[in-house]
Amino acid sequence: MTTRADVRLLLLLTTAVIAAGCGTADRRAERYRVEQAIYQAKKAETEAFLGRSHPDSVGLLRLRGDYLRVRDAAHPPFLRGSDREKRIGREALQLVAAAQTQAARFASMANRPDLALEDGRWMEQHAEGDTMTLRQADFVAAGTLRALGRTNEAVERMRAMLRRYEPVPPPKGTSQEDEILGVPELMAQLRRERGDEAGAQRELDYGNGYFKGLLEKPREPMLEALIRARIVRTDLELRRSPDALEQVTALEKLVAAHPDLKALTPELRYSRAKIELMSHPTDPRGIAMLDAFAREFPKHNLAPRALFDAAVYREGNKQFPAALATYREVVALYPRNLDVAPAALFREAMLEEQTGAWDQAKATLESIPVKYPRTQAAVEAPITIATRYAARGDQAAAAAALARAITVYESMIVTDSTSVFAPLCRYNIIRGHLVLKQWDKALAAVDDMAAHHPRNPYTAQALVDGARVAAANGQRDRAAGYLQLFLENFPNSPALAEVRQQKDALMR
Amino acid sequence: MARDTRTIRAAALEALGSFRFHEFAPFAWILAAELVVLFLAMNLGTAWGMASAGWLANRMTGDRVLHYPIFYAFLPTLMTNVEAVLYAFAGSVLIPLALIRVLRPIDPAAFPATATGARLKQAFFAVLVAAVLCEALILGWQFVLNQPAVLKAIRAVLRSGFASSMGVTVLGMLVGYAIWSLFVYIPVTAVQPGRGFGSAFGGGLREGLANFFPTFLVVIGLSLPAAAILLVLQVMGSFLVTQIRPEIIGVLIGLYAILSMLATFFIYSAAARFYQARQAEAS
Repeated sequence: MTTRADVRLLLLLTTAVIAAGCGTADRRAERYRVEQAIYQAKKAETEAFLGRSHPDSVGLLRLRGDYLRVRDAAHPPFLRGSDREKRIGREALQLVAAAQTQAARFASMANRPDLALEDGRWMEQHAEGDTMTLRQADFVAAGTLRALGRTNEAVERMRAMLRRYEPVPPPKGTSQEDEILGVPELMAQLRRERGDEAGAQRELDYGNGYFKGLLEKPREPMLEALIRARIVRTDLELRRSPDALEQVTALEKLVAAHPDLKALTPELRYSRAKIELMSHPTDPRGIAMLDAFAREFPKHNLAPRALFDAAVYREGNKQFPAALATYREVVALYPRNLDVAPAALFREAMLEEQTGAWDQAKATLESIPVKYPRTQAAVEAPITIATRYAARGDQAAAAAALARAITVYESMIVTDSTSVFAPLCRYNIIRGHLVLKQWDKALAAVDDMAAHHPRNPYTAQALVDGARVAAANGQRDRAAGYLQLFLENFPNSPALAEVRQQKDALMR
Repeated sequence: MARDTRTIRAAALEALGSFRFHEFAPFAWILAAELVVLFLAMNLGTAWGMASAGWLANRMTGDRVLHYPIFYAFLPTLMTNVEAVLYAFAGSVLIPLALIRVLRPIDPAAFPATATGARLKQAFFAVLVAAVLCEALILGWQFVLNQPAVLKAIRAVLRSGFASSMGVTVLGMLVGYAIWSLFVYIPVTAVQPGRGFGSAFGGGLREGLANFFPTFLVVIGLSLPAAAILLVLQVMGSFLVTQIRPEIIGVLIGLYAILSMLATFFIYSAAARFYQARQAEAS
């Protein structure tokens, strides 16, 4: 009897202990499994990128699979049960969403934006109204549309995001900016990638209006400061120095009233220097202010840009040795900053040439595609060598440099076929073949470009060039075909009427 | 003292050489409980793991440790606390029981089978108070050792980060073992016939003080394998969690629990034999 009573008591106690933790145990266990799966995926990713050679598309899709497995660790719906359970479920959901974002990233890297779109769609379908997850899904979708070259759709999606999501104030005690505030700049960048500078200015203008609209409502001081800092940056890019000055003054007042905003003081100094230089480009005080800022805050994220700007203004003021030294300093101090280091290296080469050190300049230009393969400077450097040789009157060297440039562009495309610079690389290949009078190769390159980037602005120019070459070489049908493609893919082009006329002439 | 050292060494060797599972069984119960908790803790991805070991961890530090892989960085702390509670409460019955089983073949007249229940009741309170006091002193020592000024002083002497971290761990363990050496005779005296709380506690403490050095040497010698694992856990714990594989921590803790339980049993067994030998010599 006693034994049976003891067993009953033991069972009762065990049940009580388990029940005490059971309220949220199931949800916590689910979150824990999700974290385990993410850890495994991250580990696989780290291992894959350990060596010098990066994984190929099969390897990338395998990594995507590891991140996709994270969603198998949980069972939707995530937001169910009591408030506490929902809170834990939301954490699990956001972890799964982060893993899906990684999966989409690898799909894009593996040149499978269709899969990335699918991942984004899954997130949208399973977001259960969670704003953070929906935002991530939108970021994935916008990024994928960008990778697919559907710029207008990507920008439209980003605009919808700006309308839909309020910026979140940074966590207490930090100045960590919400990603949504970076969207207008992304929109402008997207336009620039397509060679559409006017479009970029339009997006910046839109962004400026968006930021100012945000300030119509009262915001937390840190969020307000971050929004004003964004307005200053867009005003500076739009070269509206009076507006920028007004915002800087308002920002300074805000920082003075809230000591916890002190972290923004360096940015204010940078903005003041830029405004000064915009109003008086030749005034050495502005350059000295940028220089002083970069030296005082070398680890600030604006320091590389400040030093680069100082070099640009020095070059503009024809202080070539000082400008050259500053460009070299940018490359030496911030070799991993892809925003300024490749451009600084390119400008360094240009100044080396101007100061008579052509061999040095050539070596510098040749180093850019090796050091910074996925940058605008890398695309410009090989063809610049050829044009500089041509400008110096050495036609044989120019032809050899052009042939070499074509090889460099081909290898850049092979290394990263989805790069935003791939269309420009292909267009430069066409230009190279045309200058070298390699007509068949040029036309083959036009075909290749039309197949890979049918709606890219560079393709429009390539089709017109291709039609001209094909017609000159007696291939009238091929020329007409190129012009027909132009008419179909670029219906809003200002050259439409002229192209139609050319095509009609060929058909006659 | 040299004679005492030789005697306790002989007692330790005898304890090692005459291992009988029947005597170790009470320790095996504590070990089994520890391993069950460890198994549950290594299965936090299941509702039952989270509802048991996860619940314990949640009670101790809240939800922030119930994440992967940081839970494994917290696991040694959880297991240390579980071990301390098991030793203090279950150990207050099971350690005297193991000692009675060790001493019965040596002195059957003093430890008759029929008196086991009464002897356990007699020893319980003294052993519990000794265990709680010993734990409190060890925790106090750890608190002192982790004060910034103390850590700074150790770092100043040992210079490099790794060496100072090793130094802190080794110093922590040595003083911890020294504290335990003072209390190791209390369960032995508590199970002797006719001992009340005062005489068991006082007598055990006096015995520990009188034979401190030889006992300390035996404690260190027998604890070496477990101490080596503890050293790895303390010095390389976060490296193992973040860089290698978090689950290694669980495996090492399991290994540590087994080795440390065996070491504890052998230490108590050696102390009991040594005490009996000294008593026989005195009479």
